[in-house]
Amino acid sequence: MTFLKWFGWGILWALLLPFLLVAIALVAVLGVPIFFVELVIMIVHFFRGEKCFPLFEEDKKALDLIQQSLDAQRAKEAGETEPKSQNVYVQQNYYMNPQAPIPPVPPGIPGASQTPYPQGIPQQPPYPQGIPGQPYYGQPGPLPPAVNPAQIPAPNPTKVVEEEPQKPKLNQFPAADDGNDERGES
Amino acid sequence: MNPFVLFASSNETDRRALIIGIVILLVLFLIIGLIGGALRFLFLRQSDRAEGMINNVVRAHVVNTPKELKRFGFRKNARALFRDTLWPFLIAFVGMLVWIIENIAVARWGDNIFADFADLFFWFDWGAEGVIVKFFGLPIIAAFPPVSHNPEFHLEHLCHYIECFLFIVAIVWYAVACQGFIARMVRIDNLAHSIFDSSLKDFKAQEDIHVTPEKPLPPSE
Repeated sequence: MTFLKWFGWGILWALLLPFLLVAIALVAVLGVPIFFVELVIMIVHFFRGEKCFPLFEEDKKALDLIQQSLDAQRAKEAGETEPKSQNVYVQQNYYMNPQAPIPPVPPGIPGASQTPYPQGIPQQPPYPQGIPGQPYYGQPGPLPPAVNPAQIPAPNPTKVVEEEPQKPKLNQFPAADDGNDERGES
Repeated sequence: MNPFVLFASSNETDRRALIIGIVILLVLFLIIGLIGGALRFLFLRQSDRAEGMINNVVRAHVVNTPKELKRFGFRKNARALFRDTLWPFLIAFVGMLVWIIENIAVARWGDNIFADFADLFFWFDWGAEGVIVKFFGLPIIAAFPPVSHNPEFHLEHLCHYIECFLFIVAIVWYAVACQGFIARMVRIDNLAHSIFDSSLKDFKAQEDIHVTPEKPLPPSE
C-alpha cells in the first residue's frame, strides 16, 4: 500500500514536472549571476585572510544568544547540584529537677489526677543483676537468656582457619633489641 | 457487458493486445512514478535543509518579521546555491577548456559536438510509415520505429564525446541544484508566514474572557 501511495505521489509530481522545468529554467538563468556574485565575495574573503564562507551577522548573533542561554542554564544546574549547607542545631535537654515541686494539674482536664506526685519521679524497682533465682521485675524465676544456645553454631573441626603470619610494617623500622628506642638514640 | 466475459469471448490476438497494453501502462506508471517520486524526495530533502539553515536565527529571535526572514533566507539560499553549483560550473569549465584546446589544436570551430556525440547511440526513424497513426485526431505510437542509425565510434571525435559528457553532467547537476534552490525558497516562504503568523482565525473573543468571582467574606463571629 505504501508502495502504491509513493507511486501515486510520484505521478502527481510528474504531472507538475512541466511547471517545475519552467521554474528550473528561470532559476538557472538567475543562478548564473548569483554564482558569480558569490564567487567574487568568496575571493574577497579569501584574500582578506578570512574564511571563504564566514557566518552571517544574524547567525553570529543567534549563536551568541544561544551560547549565553546555555551558559546560564548550566550555571543554574550547577547551583542546584551543589550540596546544601547543613545547619547543626545543638539540642538542649532540660531535665526535671526531682526535688522541685510539681505544679498541680489545672482543673478541667479529664483523666488527669488532681493530686501531684510528691517525689516528682516515681520510684523504679531495681534492675535485676541477671543472677538466676532472683526476681525479675517482681516475677520469680530465672532470668531469660539473651541468646538462645541452640542458635550458636558449633565449631567445625574440618574447617581450619589459619591465621596469617604478621608481616612487618615496611614504613616502620623494627624495634632494636639492644634497648635503644626506635630512633636509635642511646 | 462484463469485461471478464468480454475478455473470455475475445479471440487470441485481442487478448494478447490487451495484455501488452496493460503491461505497457504498468511500466509507464512505474517510470512516471519513479521520476515523480525522485523529484518529491529531492524537494522534501532540500526543504529540510532550508529549515536547518534558518533554525538558529528563528529560535534566538534574531529575525522577527517575515520580511527579515525572507531576506535572510534568500542570502543563505544563494550561498547554498553557490556551493551546490560549484562542481557543475567546474565540470562545465573543464569541458569548455577541453573544447578550446581541441579547437586550437585542430581548428574545427564549426563542428557540432552534440551531433557527433549522438553517433554513439541508436537513431530511430519516427517518421516512417505506420509508426505514428492518428486515433480520433490524436497521434499515437502504433509500432516500434525502425532503426535508422547504429552506434559508431570515431576516434577523431573523442574530444567531442568527452566535452559532451562533461556538459551533460554539468547541466543535469546544475538543474538539480536549481531545483533545490526552488524547494528551499518555497519552504522559507511558507515558514516566514507560518512562524510569524498573527492570524485571528480561531480566536473567539467571548471565550477568551475569564471572570474571576470575588471570594466571599468569612462569617463574622
